[in-house]
Amino acid sequence: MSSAPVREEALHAYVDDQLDPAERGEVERYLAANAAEAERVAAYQEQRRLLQNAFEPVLQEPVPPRLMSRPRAALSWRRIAAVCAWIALGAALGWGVRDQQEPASATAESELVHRARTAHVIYSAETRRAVEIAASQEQDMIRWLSKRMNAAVRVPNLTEFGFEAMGGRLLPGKDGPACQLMYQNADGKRLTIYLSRDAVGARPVHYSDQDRVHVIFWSDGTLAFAVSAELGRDELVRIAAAVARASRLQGG
Amino acid sequence: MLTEAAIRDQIPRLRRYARALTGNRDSADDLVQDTLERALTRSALFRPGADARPWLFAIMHNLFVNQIRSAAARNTTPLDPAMPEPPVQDDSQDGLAVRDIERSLQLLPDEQRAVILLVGLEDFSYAQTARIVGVPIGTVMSRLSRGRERLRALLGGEPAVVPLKVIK
Repeated sequence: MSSAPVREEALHAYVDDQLDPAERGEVERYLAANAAEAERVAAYQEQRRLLQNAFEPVLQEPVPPRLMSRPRAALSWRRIAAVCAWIALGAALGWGVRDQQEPASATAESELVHRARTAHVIYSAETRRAVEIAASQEQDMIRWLSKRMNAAVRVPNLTEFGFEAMGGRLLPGKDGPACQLMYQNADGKRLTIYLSRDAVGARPVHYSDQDRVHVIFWSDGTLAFAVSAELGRDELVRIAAAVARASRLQGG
Repeated sequence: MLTEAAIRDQIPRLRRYARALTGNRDSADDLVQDTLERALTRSALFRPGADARPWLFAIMHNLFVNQIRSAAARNTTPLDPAMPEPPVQDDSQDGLAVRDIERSLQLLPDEQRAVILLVGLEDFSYAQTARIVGVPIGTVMSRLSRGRERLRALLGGEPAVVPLKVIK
């Protein structure tokens, strides 16, 4: 039979045109007899084409002057400017060290994460006034927060992770209200879920900083979520995924 | 010895690769600038007769990896598939293929994205790619294979999670 199995490497080498004619023929015979593999190879070829199309225009762009000028010393003006911007931004945000070369699209989400993280640090340190309204009045809390947020606010059950809901509070967001739900585990460790209408549609991101607070951010079609706690990243991701699932299940 | 002019000739291709790698124009040009600075200070080490292009791409790759490491030590790392992705709204049938590929590319792990681009965009051989990235050729092949398969899933509308319902 002419269509003996072809190794995965050979399929990629076929896509990348890195085979000699005899090997090409072998792959072509194999693909002729294996529709699923042929489809996969076609998809990889399409990927190559899309990549070329997407980035070809960069070759035609005029080269920015700064790339054409001879660099002087290792500590260039650009580095100095970067350090200054970094310090200013660090001071403005009050946390960690942020690279000023963030993608522009990250701005709304990084602002939101900053607000969520700040709210987490401030209110999770409160022993007696951690929440504005207690979880014992859950229905009242949900009604109130949902009304103010103009979106269905849910209180996900996180007992499988050892966290019990304590309650919530309303907070100022960027242009409107935001709210925070607070949870506590048996060790007294606090976890918060920050909900906002800002940054809806932004990509999920994980933030951490020297204070060991990790924040997982994501959004759905209506609300942006940020879950903060001093937990390991992986555990927090699992909790965040549970929160996202809960909002989705109850949302319809 | 490599002349400054020979290095500068490569700027457009370095910019293209950096743009695809970082997904951001300014970060990309910063990466190019760092690459050029380093290449110029090290051009005396360049072996005469060798191809300047893989050498420059290797410098860029090292700088990129260092950047990721220091960024990861500080903050913001895009999440891996463990997290639900935001619902993709209204563009499933729009044929916005270019935007799709750019976005999907950024969802790949950095090391898979780098290999896909070196091979598929810059047309380096597998052996050259292995030298640029500094891994065995078998690792290049497995990154290429996993990366392309993930990209196929991302582009092919096989959603990682069920799109979120809009909450009323």
